[in-house]
This record gives sequence, C-alpha cells and structure tokens, in this order.
Amino acid sequence: MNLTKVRTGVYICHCGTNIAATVDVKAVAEFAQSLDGVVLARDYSYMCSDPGQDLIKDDIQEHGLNRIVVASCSPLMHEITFRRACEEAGLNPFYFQMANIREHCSWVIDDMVLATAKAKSLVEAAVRRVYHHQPLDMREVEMNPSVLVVGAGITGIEAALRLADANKKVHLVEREPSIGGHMAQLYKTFPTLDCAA
Amino acid sequence: MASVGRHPNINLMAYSEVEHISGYIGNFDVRVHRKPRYIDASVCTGCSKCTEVCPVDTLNPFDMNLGTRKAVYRHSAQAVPGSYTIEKLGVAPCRNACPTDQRAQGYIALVREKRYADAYWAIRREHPFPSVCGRVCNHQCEDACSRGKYDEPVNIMGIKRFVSDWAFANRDELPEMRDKSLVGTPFVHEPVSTGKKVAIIGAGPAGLTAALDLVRLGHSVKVYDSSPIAGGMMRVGIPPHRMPDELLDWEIEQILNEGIELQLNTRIDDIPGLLESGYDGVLVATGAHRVKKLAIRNSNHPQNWLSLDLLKRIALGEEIDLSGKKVVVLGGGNVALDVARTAIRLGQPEVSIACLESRGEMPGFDWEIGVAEEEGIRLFPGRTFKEIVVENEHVVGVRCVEVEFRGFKGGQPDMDEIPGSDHVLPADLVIWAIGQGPDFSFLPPDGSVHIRYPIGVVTDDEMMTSLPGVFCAGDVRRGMTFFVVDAIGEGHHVARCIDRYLRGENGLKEPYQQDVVELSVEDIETRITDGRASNQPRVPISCIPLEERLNNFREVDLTLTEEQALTEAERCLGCGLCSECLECVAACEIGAIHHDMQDELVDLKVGAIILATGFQDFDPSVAPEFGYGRLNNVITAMEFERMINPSGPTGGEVLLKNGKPPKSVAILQCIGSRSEQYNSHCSRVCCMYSLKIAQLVHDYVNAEVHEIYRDMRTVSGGYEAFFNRTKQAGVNFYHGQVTEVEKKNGRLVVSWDESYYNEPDHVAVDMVILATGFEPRDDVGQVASTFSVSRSPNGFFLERHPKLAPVETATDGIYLAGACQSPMDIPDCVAQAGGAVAVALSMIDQGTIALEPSIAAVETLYCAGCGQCVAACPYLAIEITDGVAVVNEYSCKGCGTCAAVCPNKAMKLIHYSDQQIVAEMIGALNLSVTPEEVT
Repeated sequence: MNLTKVRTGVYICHCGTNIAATVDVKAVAEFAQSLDGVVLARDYSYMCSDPGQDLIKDDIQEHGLNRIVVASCSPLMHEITFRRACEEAGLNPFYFQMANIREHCSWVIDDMVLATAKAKSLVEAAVRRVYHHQPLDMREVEMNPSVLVVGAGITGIEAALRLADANKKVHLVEREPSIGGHMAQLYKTFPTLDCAA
Repeated sequence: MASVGRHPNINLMAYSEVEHISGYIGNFDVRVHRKPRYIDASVCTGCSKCTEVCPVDTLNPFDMNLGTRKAVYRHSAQAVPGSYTIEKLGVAPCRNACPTDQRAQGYIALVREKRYADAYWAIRREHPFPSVCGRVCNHQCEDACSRGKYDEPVNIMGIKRFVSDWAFANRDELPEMRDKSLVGTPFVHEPVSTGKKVAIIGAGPAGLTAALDLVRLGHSVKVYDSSPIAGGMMRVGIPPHRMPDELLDWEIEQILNEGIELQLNTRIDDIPGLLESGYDGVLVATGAHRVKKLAIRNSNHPQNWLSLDLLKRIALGEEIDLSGKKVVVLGGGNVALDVARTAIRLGQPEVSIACLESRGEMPGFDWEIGVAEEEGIRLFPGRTFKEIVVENEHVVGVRCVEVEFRGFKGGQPDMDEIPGSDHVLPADLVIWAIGQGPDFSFLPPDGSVHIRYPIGVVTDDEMMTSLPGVFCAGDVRRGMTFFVVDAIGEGHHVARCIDRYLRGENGLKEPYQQDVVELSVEDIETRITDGRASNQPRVPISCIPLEERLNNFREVDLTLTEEQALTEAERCLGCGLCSECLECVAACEIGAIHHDMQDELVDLKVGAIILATGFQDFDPSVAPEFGYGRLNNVITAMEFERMINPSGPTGGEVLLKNGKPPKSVAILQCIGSRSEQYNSHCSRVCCMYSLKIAQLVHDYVNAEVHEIYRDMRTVSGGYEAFFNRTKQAGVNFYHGQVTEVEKKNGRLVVSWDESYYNEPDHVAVDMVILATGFEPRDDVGQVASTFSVSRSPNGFFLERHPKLAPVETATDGIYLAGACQSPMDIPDCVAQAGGAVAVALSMIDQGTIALEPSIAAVETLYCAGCGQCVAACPYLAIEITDGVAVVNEYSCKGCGTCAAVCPNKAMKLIHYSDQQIVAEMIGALNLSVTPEEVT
C-alpha cells in the first residue's frame, strides 16, 4: 500500500455536551491531524446531523478523501449512517471506521485529561486500522417472505393475523393442542371487562 | 381465535414444537416436531362421541386441575383446531411385555367402569383364547407391571379370567359386538376373498390364531389336526382341574364360525402334495407333542407312561383308576406338576415327583409346586434316574442317585453325583415328564424342510421354511414347549408373514412399536395419592378347599368375584394414561382416530421469526407463608378465573371446599413478585387483574372484598379510572406486605407488615386469592438456545436495545413479542405484536437483504484440510471439499472462531485481517510504528 494514496479525514463529534464536556475535542482533532495519512481533522457538534454528514460528503469530494474516521458514539447507533454518507459521496462504505469516544470515554471517565488521552488512543487506533481497509461489497440475498410465529397466545395470534392480512404466509406453531394460551382460560379482562375468549 | 383456523395464509401447527433452526435473516430453515394427536385434525368434526366412551379420567390442566377430563379430550370448549386429542404417554409396560400385544391397561380400564362386554371384546382383539390365558399364562404382563415397583403387580391374569368367565356365563345375552374386536386392526369380518388358499397343520394356539387372522384378511383357510379334538396343547395338555373344556370349546367355536374349515383325525404327511393340490401356502404348527424319555434300563417297560399320553386320555374322556398304586412322575416342570396332580385325582394313588433340579430351581411355577404338596404329592428333587427297577415283570421302583445339579450345558445336564446316595424310589407306575420335543416324522423325507435338531424347524426372517410357501410357527419351530401366549404371538406374526407372501407389497406391515412408559416410584406414589389408583393390596386367587378336590377334576382356582375384580382393577396405575382400549376408535363414525400415529418432523423455510412463547404463573406452593397447598380455600388468581368462568369446572360458581359461597375474600398482591426470595421483578399485570377480580367478586359472588397491596400501579390509559371505580364499589384496600396466612377459628387470617397509621394489619376471611406474578417458562433456557436469543437477569428473553430495538433480538430476523420478553398485559401484548410484525414486514418487504461482507474466507493454498475449523464452527458453515475447507457464505456469521483455530492461518476473516487488527492495537497503544511496518 502506497502511503501517498491514503487520504484520511477524521471527524470528532461533540455529541452536544455528551462528549465535549469531558473530552477536549479540539485537542483530539489536532492530534488526529498529526497522524500518518490524515489529510484533515475536524470537530463538530453533531456529526450524525444532516450538516455533519454533509461535512463528510463535501470533504470527500473536495479533498479527495479515501478513508473516513468518525469518533463519536457506538457503531450500533450510527455506523450505518456514516457508511451511507461515504457511499453517497462515491466512497466505498468499508473505507469507513468508527471510534467510540462516548460510551467508551466521556460517559465512563470523569477526568478530562484521562478521557482526552483515551479518545486520542481510540482515534489513532481507528486511523491506523482504516489505513489497511479494503473496498468491500455487501452481499445481497433474497428474502423468504414467509414468517414463523412461535406461540399462539394472544400475542402470537395477533401477530399471525396481522401478517396473514398483509398477505404473508405464516406458520403458527403452538405447543398445546389448541391456540389461545392463557387468554383462553380467562373470563373477563381489564380494563373493558369483556369476554376473553 | 376462530379466524386463525380459517385464514388461508396461516398454516396452524398446533401440538407442535420448534426443534431446531438454522440459517440467517431472510432464509431460516426451521424444523418443527409435530406431536401425534392420534386423531386426524383435518377429519375430526369434534362430535365428542370418542370422549363419551373413554374410560380414563385425568385431571384437566386447562381447569387448573380443578376438574377432570378424559384421556381423549378437547383442549377447551372453543379450541382451535376443534379436533380432539388423545393424551398417550406411550405403550404401557403390560402391553409391551405381552407376546400377543394385549392391551391389558385397556380392558382393565373398562372393567373399572363395569363395562365387561366391552372389556371382553377389547381382549379378543389381540387374544382369541382369553379363558386359557386367564388361567395358565406365565403373565409376563404382571412381571412388567409398574405396580410391582411399589407393592405387588396388578392381578392382570385374574382380571382377564374374570372377564372371560363373565362373557361365557353371559354368552347368550352377550351383545353382538364382534366388529368392535376388529377396530384398530387390519382385519374385517366377511372380507373380499383374495382367492388364495392356505392349509394349516395343527389346530393349537399358533395354528388357530394364524387361521383367524388369515381368514379375516380374505384368504381361504383349512386347518388339519391328527387329534379327534381341536385346541392342541391347550386342550390335551392342560388338565381339566386347571382349564374347563367348555370355555375353550366355546372360544374355538367362535373362531371356526368366522369361516375356517377344520378337518380332525387327519395326519398330514405329504406337505408338497398339499401345495400341488392348490394351496398357495402351508403353515406347520404341529406343536411339541413327543415326550422324551431317558435311555435307561427298562424305560421301555409298559409301566412307563408318557405325560402327554395320560393327559390326552383324560382329555378324551377316558376313565382311569390308579387307586392303590405308587406313581412316580419324573420331571420338575409345569407338565410334571400337571401330570402328578392329574394322577392323584384318579383314585388317590400315592404320587411323588422326582427331578434333577433342587426344590428352589424346579422350572414349574412356585405356586403350583406348593399346591401339589398341599394335595399330598411328595417331592424328591435333586436326583438323577439310573434304572427303572423291574421285578417279576412288574415295575417296582426307580433307582436314583442324588446329584448336585448346576443347569444344562449344550443340552446336557451339568452335575456331580453324590457318592453313596444310590437309592430306589418305590413305584409301580412311572410317568415321564422330563420335556417334550416336536415330532418331525411327517416332514418330507427328502429333507426339503430343514430342521436344526434339537432346536426345531429352521425358518427365515419371514418365518418361511426352506421349502418355499411353507411356513412354521409355535413349539415345532422353537423345538420345545413354550407358553400358550408365545404360540398366539407367533400365530399373529406368521399370519402377517404369510399375508405378505401371498399379497406382496399389499400385505400386512409389522406393527409400529411406540415408546414404553416407565414410571418412577415417585410417579407411582403421586398416582396413588391423587386417587388415580387405589392403595389396596393385591387380591390373590383363591382355591376350592382341599377336600373338594378328591377324585374329581373340578377346577381348583376360583375366578375373582366382581367385587374383587373391581378392587384389583382400581389398583391399575394407568401407566400410559390413554389405556388403548380403542373404544374411541369404535365410536368414531368417520375413522379419524389412529392410535399408531407417529411423531412427524416438518421442515419449513421462513424469512423471519417472531417469538411469542409467553410466560408461566408463579407457583405459590413454593411459598408456604401464603398457605397455598397447605390451607383449604387459598387459591390462585387463575384458579379463580376457571371457577368464575361459566364454561369452567364449577359452571361459573365460586365456592369454598364445603360447597358454600364465600362471604368474604382477601386478594393478596405481589405473590412471587418484587421479592428477594422469589422473583425480583414487578409483574406489572397483577395490580390491574387484582382490581378486576375484586370487581368480579364484588359483583358476582356478592362477598366482601379486601385487597392487600404494596403499591398500586395503574399506569396505562383508563387504568386509574378502573382503580377508582373499584374503590367506589366498596372494595377495601389495605397497604401492606403480607407476612402469613393462617387458619384461626375456622377462618383464614391474613396478616401483613407496613400497614398505614391507624389501619388494620390483618383480616379474617373465608377465601384467599393469590395474585401470582409472571415468570419465564420452565424451559425458557432451552428455547433461548434453540433460537440463539439472550436472556435478561430475570430470565425473560432480552431485546436488542431497550429503547431503540425493543422487539428485535441480537439475531437479525428474530423478533420478540409479548410476555416472553417481560410481564405484560393484554393491551401491551397486542401492541407489541403489532410492533414485531411491522419490523418483520419492513425487512421482508425489501425483497432482498444486504448481509455484511465480513465473513470467513479460505486461502486455499495454505489450507491442509485438517478440519479443525469445521469442528470449531458453531454455525455448521464450513465443510471440507476436495481436501480444503469451504465456507458457506450464507451460513457464516463472521464470528472468527475458525480463523482463531486454523493452524496454518489459511482461514481469514474479511474486514478483520491480522494486519487490520494489529494496526488498530498499535494505534490504541500509541506505539511508534509506521503504517507500512504493520504486516
């Protein structure tokens, strides 16, 4: 891999005060700027917002970025969001890497110095990792349109009927010889006191 | 509920469980285990005729065991599907042990209901000679009877004899129910003729059983016997003091009436000739009638009689007088006992039995040895016979030597003679009863029917001899005498073999063997305590007094009285639950019932899975402070629901144990919830359902209601108003945590801590209703592992994220709904079902699904095909093909276990290469390494 070809952009999210109150986001951005392959590093109030995402897209176009690192929250929250932003700007989404400086830093460390130091480490880890990323494609597979519902109490019955009404094939599996579950044993039910069965 | 059963898009699989799933979102493979209902749900109309005739009562769990139902039952009045179901735990051990497959539990269940005619025809289904096996069977059923683990087995043989004697005594009024004895079998009366002819040689139990089965299949059958009477060993081998002739004659007559031709006094010695004369098959069932003798001096003297000769002469009505004689019977088995007991009835001669075996090792039944001694027969066990002593041309004794006998080895006795023990037992008549073997002299002289001396006629797996079309069954095949029941069992079996031979693929299949029920001692004790079986001791068979047995052949053993038979039937534990009496099959007019239905595995393909497996109620019997199970009239909320339900076990009446309605009721909240001892979680639903119960008690039972609560949580729309209405109705609310429920002065006193200032801390009531909480189902762990779903600390299924993914699980494509996730009331369950459906639809309706590319990949060049990755993969996604590992990219979840175990580093995880991970670590540790240096 030729170093000159890697052009990384790093974005440090404030998440309002969720991160910025505990992590010195400016210092982290400055530190990121110093790392190998990093072309630019910014901090911004909400990276997941539309303007935040536009920042990434515009930089890719303008600065020819080919690696993106966002240091913000958990990838469970927004990895898909940022991957999509990369893709919309014409960059393979797997050239993206996320560093979690909220759940792993600001929310769990009170000391700003320590939290900032850890945030820098996580950002450097992400920058170094993304350097070696390869372009990848998602695998597309067909969806089987039928659904299995396990348990035919009030919940399973309701789910099965709604799916069936949506014209989906439903396999409704019930352990007992009849559907109905606990509900079928009840007389009147609150709050309307109407008949359960 | 009804619309589920009718919806064209719903494949309802009730009485089924998911056994296994594999695959991934969009493409799950599901294996469903369908339990047998034993009733075809697609045919059953729910007419209830089956349940009306079922003799088995069992507690009804749908009614919280407050009432009973039958073994064939409908789950509930409005069940969907509406089909009945048979609850069968498996084959009862008695049936499993019987060579004829006799369903003893079935006829015993019918005897319990005094349905003796039904019981008789149930017996006749597998057994054409119940009067014989009610008397002389070795009753393997009783050896297998579960009750034997507790006290003594049920007297099954006694009950069978009671039923067969009852049927004989009432034979003229016996309802014509012949067809009932054919339900559940492949047989019919007056079948369409197959045009095939079968000759059976021997009219004993094997031959007649096979004849009956074959004629009921449409074959034409003719039975030959060399004797002047039919019945074989049952007729000529069992003396009249054990088996009265008229009962057996009646049974044989019934068999012959089904269209079997019988030719007596005919010895067949040209089997190939029979085949040539137009028979399509021949069955040899000639028994073992050749009595053995030892080749000792004078054993051919005419005063040496043979056991069977004597028994046959008696059976044919000959008068014999042995008075004043000294008779020595040689042999220690059941035949020797029969002969000795027959001889002593012929004029009270002096009768003794001499045999090789020691007293305790004699093969005859223990009870019969006792009876023989009682009747005056002397025993000389533990000796071998050297010579029949003859003086002046008359037998005067048997010279014996005492032995230490250790059993038979290769057909020869293994023994040591005791030196100096030589002696003569005085005798003027010797009767040989040391064993019988088949007579082979009638077989073709060319040896075309192979025999394996001394074992018997050789047959293949299909009971056919070496001569095609010639079959063999019974003692002549085994080479020695077995029990009547074994011969009947072989008769049924050989009939199926012959039918297959005659009809090929259309022939009868061997019956499917279901699992056998095994009850533990604890199971047995439970069944006795909850009243399903009585705790009475076994009723023994009684005998006529000794003085009434002299010089006659009156039957010695008495049949059970009706009272005794009922007492004995009440002892039956009903091992299999369903007794398999097949009354339901006879009652079902549309043929929907199939007792041989089997488990079925169904494979499905689905794109998404919604788990809605629900909860279970907390069992308050583990919390003795609340009195449940310890005090009368302490009930659970669900028990109250069943009582107040008009279709419930009390028809909608809430009653105390004494049958009166309660005047005051206390409802205790938080039972098993919010507790350090039981479940720590709040069950969320109980506040509201307690209020509902309070209103129902107030409105319908007209009782005073006291509700003891810790915190009243009425959080959803309209719930607070419901609480206010309950208060306005006059229900008393007391704050407190209940500490105990005790009985004082005939009332239930509920006490609690944490009462408010100036408010009561106890109340005395007639009835206590426990508002039990919700907990995960007992098998939640197993279900969680089947579906790879995580669990919360409370044990319920865990969602992916409590706010952002409340109906999703950690596995894509598997969603949660309802109380399997946490306690939730009906409105919430319905709402959550809608949520899970919406999420599932949003996935499915995309048509395709994008999967992460981060899966395992093999660098084939380095793969040695060692297979360690195959063993390590938890998703069965790898196999070795052509010597290298191949990853199924659809099954692989990218967990990386394979990459970790690969010794050659041939297995890589895409997007998690060593290089990427090492670079990340270097970064996290702030090491000064340039990116290029990372490899």
